[in-house]
Amino acid sequence: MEQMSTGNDIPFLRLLTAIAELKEHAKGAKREILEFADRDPAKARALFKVADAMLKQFAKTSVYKKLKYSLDMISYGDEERYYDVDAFGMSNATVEAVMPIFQFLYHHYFRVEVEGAKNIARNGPALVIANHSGVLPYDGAITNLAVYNNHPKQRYPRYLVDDFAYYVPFVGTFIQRTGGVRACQENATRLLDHGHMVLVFPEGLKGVSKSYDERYQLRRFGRGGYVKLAMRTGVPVIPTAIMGAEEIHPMLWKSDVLGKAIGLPYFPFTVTFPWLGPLGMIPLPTKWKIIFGKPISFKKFTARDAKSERKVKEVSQKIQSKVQAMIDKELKNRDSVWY
Amino acid sequence: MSAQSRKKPKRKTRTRGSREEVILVTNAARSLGSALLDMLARHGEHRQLIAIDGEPLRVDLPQGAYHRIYLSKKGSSRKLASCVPHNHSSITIVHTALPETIDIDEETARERLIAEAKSVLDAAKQLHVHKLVLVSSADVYGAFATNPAYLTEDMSARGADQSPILDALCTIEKMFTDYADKHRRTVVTTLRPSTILGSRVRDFKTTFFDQSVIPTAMGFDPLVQFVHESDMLRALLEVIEKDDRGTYNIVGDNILPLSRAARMLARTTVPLPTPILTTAAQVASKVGLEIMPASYLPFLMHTCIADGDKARHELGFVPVYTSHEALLSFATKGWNR
Repeated sequence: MEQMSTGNDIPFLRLLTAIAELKEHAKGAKREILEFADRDPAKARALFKVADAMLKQFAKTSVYKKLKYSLDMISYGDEERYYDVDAFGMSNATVEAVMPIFQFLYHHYFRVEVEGAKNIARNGPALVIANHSGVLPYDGAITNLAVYNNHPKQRYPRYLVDDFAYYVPFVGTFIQRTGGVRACQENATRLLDHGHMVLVFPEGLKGVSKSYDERYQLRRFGRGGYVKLAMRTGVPVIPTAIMGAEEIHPMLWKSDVLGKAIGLPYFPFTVTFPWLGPLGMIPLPTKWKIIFGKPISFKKFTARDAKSERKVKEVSQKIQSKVQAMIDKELKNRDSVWY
Repeated sequence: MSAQSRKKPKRKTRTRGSREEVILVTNAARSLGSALLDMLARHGEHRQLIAIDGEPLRVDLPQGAYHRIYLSKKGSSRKLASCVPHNHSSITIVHTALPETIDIDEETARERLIAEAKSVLDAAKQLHVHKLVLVSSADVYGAFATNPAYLTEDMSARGADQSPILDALCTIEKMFTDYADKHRRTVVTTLRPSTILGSRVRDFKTTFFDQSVIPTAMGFDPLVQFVHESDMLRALLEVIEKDDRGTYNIVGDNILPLSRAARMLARTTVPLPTPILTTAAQVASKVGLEIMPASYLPFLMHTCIADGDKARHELGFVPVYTSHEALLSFATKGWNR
């Protein structure tokens, strides 16, 4: 590392020869250059400028063009790279653009209170398992923010999303750019392998579409896909209870037939929607509380346990009752939905 | 990273005798075939190249190396077998299956592609070839909303349900693997490159990006990935020189949204609602406008990203260009020769 800053031009010259002949080690040299440019962009750019001028004077036109192109590709970055997406399609530019809206919802609209922030994994992969509700999945975005706002290094979890969202124009793309990943074992495993924190709502669609009288009663935790995942990868599970989200859109009734007609899994009739038109899509300003429970270690399980349906079901039910207990305890202590 | 440390020592390089090894390249007049011949001609000492195509070649080869054969015609396999000289040490056939243009309707194209592959396999049987290399496409996985973020070689190729051309490619891949099962001594390798970009290779996908106005599906912005043509050629050289059985995705690092690719190419995008886009594509192909095959529309909506880890670990193939760089190289065309 230190060596490179003292001999600025060495990796640069190596790169030139390497690209000119496109030898095997071009990639390695390029990476070095990129690292160098990352560490000291101003110096790198100045260096490129000098090199550019030198090349113009000494090199043949064809060689110059070739090298100029290589230079352009390396200095491509900084502002440009800001708009790039990561390996799962998340764009920092989009996240930063929508962040203020959700921060407003978080601080002023839902006035989120967080308990057990110390249980959020400092680093390394983890699974956050929470109750799902609210007709529109505000709970996902707000829980993501709860982690982001309460983590010393502003950790941003990735959330798993049901398939149907990807068929809906704009929605699928938006979800992907803001960090959503389609829920399947392959994707989840890859996310955890990359060291991400992953937010999972095992209830899935059945959870979001809970009617008002079923609020805070957990639906079946899927087929235990998240348990299999945790068993195979040995990643800890953080049971989480989200309070307040279940009342933002009190749903009276839902129609699967109407929903299917417009390409959605169901069509909700809430106390405000569709009676108030688009205004009915504004969530009620309930007071939220998010409780992160103590992480459950999965170190003692192996990939073989994941194959046993009985074991998976057992563990899944245990976690479900844990989340349910957290919810019940909080419900008892809560004075009002609104404050 | 040195070249040595990347390569696995356990793979054996074939010993070359005094007799020449024959490399037969089909569809040699297409841009990928030409580029491959060009590279092989520069790299080969003990090689004899044979180029097969119905159309005249674009590269210079020594006398007698080019044979004008339409592979889709009857009796082409016999012709193909007869153009290989007898004094050879081994025969390798490189078959590039993905068509360059779709100038006829897709069903006919499908039949033609399968007929071509059939002739190649028939000839391979007669010649007792040592190696068969098939260049397919990573599109065979198909663009589905239910695709995982990264598609690996062990996942099923579902693209057959989407497009007749992809159906043809899937069928051809199946024919090649069946051949491998029957003829254990033949090394059969399938490469599935993502969209190949660069200064030379042209096909219907590069034509799509070459338009000054790119139609897109409103509300959808799929992720795309590219591989640079020189990387693709290196991968081909690798499997020609060493014996690597199986199927490999050949892709560049990093991915980018289609809208970003269009912006980097300085193209205007026209988002159209999906039903209108479908109709427009069908009408365009009816009147002979070569924008893109209508059955490729799902690729404007859903993501089909292949995982290059297997090629990285087993072939030792490390792409020099990222997807972005391949795209920039395509954008600046003649520059990066």
